[in-house]
Amino acid sequence: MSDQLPPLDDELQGLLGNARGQLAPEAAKAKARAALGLPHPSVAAPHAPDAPKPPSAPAPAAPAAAGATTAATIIKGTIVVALIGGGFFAGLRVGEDRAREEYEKLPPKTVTVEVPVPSPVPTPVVEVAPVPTPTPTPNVPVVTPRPPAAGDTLEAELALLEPVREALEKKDAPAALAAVGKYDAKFPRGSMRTEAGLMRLEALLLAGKRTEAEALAKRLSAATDSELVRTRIKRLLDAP
Amino acid sequence: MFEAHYDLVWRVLKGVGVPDASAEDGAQQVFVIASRRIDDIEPGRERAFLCATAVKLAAPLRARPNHVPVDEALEPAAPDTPADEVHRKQQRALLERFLSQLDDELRTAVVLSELEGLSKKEVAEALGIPEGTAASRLRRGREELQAIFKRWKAAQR
Repeated sequence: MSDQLPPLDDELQGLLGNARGQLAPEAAKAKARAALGLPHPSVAAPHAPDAPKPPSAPAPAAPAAAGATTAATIIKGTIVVALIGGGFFAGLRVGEDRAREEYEKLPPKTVTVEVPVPSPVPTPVVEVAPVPTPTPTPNVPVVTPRPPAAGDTLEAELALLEPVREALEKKDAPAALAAVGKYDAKFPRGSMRTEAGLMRLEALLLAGKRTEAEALAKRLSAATDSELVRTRIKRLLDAP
Repeated sequence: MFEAHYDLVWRVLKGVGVPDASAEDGAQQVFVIASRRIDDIEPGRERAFLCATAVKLAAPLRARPNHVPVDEALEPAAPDTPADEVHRKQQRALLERFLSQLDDELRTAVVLSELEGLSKKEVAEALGIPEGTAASRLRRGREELQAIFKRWKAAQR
């Protein structure tokens, strides 16, 4: 497509080329793997085309999100994550705390049969069969997926947050507060609640409502276990 | 899909202006969505799907000037960072500065095309816009990026 496009200076091309090779921090990737219940590639499934060859040693269980079981399988080279019990929200920071609490209150609809795999046969990955009527089979945990959770409304949530962002970019604090109010009213337990809270914080600071902003910052900090969110709160409070 | 495309998703989020602190969460969320919509993803269209999801998710996560300005690439490198890595960081920071001067729509198109190598058709698909519009954004994005670079170059002399 580039042949029909305006040329770029070689030096600029070099900058783009350098950025193309940038990799995500391994720590971030590892956290995401853990939250999604995926094994490290060194212990990935033998049939996964993206993953290295099968492990020579028995694979450890996929890192489960706190307080829950999360299982994954790989189908046609793509991941499928089965979200069991409170695992989904326990592993996510984006749509965190209250959604997680509510989600965990739901009765589990999962039947998991875990039969130890005889050594030395490795367990490459947890296999999940999302069938309507679980038929337990030895060595195969059978899982019925849970009903859709709050994240299914993500696009609707994002649509309501977009006006907030636009208002903030225009430094229109009243409009931002009104827009984030609409989000809060519609999605009081939405998966973007933390982001909405940060936007409200920013709007309050923009409006000069420092006391209210600091009170909100305390609540947001107390409600999250994400250090990244706390850092963002601090940056917002510290911004000139 | 995760191992093959996590870096791409993270780069797209960063490329369109999401700060480090949010890119990590955003990338994770992209794969959660992908796992739920796995049946909707046509084989061979994984990149377009992931890019589209990342772009949608990026909107409220973008850094806003003067509010969440700190970016990993702009922070001074640790003293023991190898010189090559320092240079690469500086280059990325420079590119980030140029990209940040583009309009969001143009920036997104440029990132998907120039950084991630998506075809015009894939860019259109990822952004949910006609191919002609994608082509126009790519052309304007490149023109503006080149102009921004030239202005910077001139200011260096």
